[in-house]
Amino acid sequence: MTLPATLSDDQLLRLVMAADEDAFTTLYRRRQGAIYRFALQMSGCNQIAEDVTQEVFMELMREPERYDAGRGTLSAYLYGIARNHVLRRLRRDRCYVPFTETDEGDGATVDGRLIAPGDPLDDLTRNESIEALRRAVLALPEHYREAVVLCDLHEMNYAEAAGALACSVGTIRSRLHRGRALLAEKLRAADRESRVSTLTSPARCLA
Amino acid sequence: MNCQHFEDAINDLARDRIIDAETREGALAHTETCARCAARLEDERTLTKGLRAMAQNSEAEQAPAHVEAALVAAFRQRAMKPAAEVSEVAPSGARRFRRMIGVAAAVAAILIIWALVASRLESTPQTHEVKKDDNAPATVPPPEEQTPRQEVRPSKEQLLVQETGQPQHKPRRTSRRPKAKSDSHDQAGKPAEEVIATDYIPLTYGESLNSIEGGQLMRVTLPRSVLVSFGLPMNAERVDEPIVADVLVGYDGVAHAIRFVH
Repeated sequence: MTLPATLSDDQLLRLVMAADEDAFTTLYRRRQGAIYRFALQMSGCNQIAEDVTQEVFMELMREPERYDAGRGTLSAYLYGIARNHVLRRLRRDRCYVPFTETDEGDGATVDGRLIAPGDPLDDLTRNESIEALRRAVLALPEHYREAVVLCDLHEMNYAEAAGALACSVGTIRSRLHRGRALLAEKLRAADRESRVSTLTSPARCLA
Repeated sequence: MNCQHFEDAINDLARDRIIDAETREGALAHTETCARCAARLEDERTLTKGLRAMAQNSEAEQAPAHVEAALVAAFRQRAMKPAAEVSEVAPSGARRFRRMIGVAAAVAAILIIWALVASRLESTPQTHEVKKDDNAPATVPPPEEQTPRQEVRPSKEQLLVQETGQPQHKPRRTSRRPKAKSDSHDQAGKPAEEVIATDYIPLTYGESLNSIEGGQLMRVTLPRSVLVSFGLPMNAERVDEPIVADVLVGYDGVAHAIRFVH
């Protein structure tokens, strides 16, 4: 690999269009992780995430000229392709697991313990909480889910997310606001259920 | 700041996004006086921390190596293809244009074929409807307007020409009425068999019916699908029914023309 790491995405893409394999590999390695995680967080399915990642870069390989730098970054463009493929697959496969169907009785919550320092059960609690949160995100309606995933999990600003989802900044703001509110509601409901479950179930012996 | 304005700013505040100092201070001051909004901000901050933990937790996730291998292999394959083969990745606009050109070419081809068939049917001789006696095959002349020579004209006993009724197929039919009442009856006085037929269609490419001096007319039964090969319409529902045809066989033993009889 002889390409300098300082080359921008756009520069790499121009080299890709000139059939430069190193440029393609560099661009892929730079962006595949985010695209894969986005697809995974949107679908909850490793197979879909793999397929979508492959499709995104195949599409870039087939039609690189479709990317218009004037309309946004290459990263946002790739997210946009990934989003379209994910939604198509979800509608076709319906393979993600709704939060309400799988969360019963596992006692996973997001609450103050998530960040409580020094808690001996911190790691376990944290892992369970993250799993519960992951399922809550998957249970969100698609348009709220994609706003939460891009803005909160991928740390995109409103303008970047708007570019990826081809909508206005105002739409992103309102979807994120509503999505987060729904997420908080779901987690509170799950928390209440888990507390009731803990009170009614016999104590576990941890010895 | 009231609760409504606080709600507008809460996401940016909880997510530590850059907001103007005045809004930030106003929102924080509001939480001092409004317990509900203070609890709401606490919930949102907890949620933000949970989401960040989730993002951190999945930071190491990436596509498996075989995806990269498959993509690189595909890239190499594409790079090795000549430009003409790679043209499948042309912009969608160009693809649409090419598709339109293809459709236009197909339409043009259909029109040309239709015109050729129509001209071929135009060039064929007029329909002759034949009533012949029971002893087929009979000696028969070529169409009278094309072969006026008397010596090849069959006798009345051999061949009676008559036209009646509607043709099965539109393309070719005679417009003449029966010549005489007596012609349409056989010797026993029974009504003659009424025949509707197409024009004679040459069987030899480029041959003019004028050049046929005469011959024998042989009635044959053929599969109905033969109609299609002569450019004539075929009723698909009757595809299994055979069709009767008269084949004009010259003195040289070669079949020169055919007509289909209803």
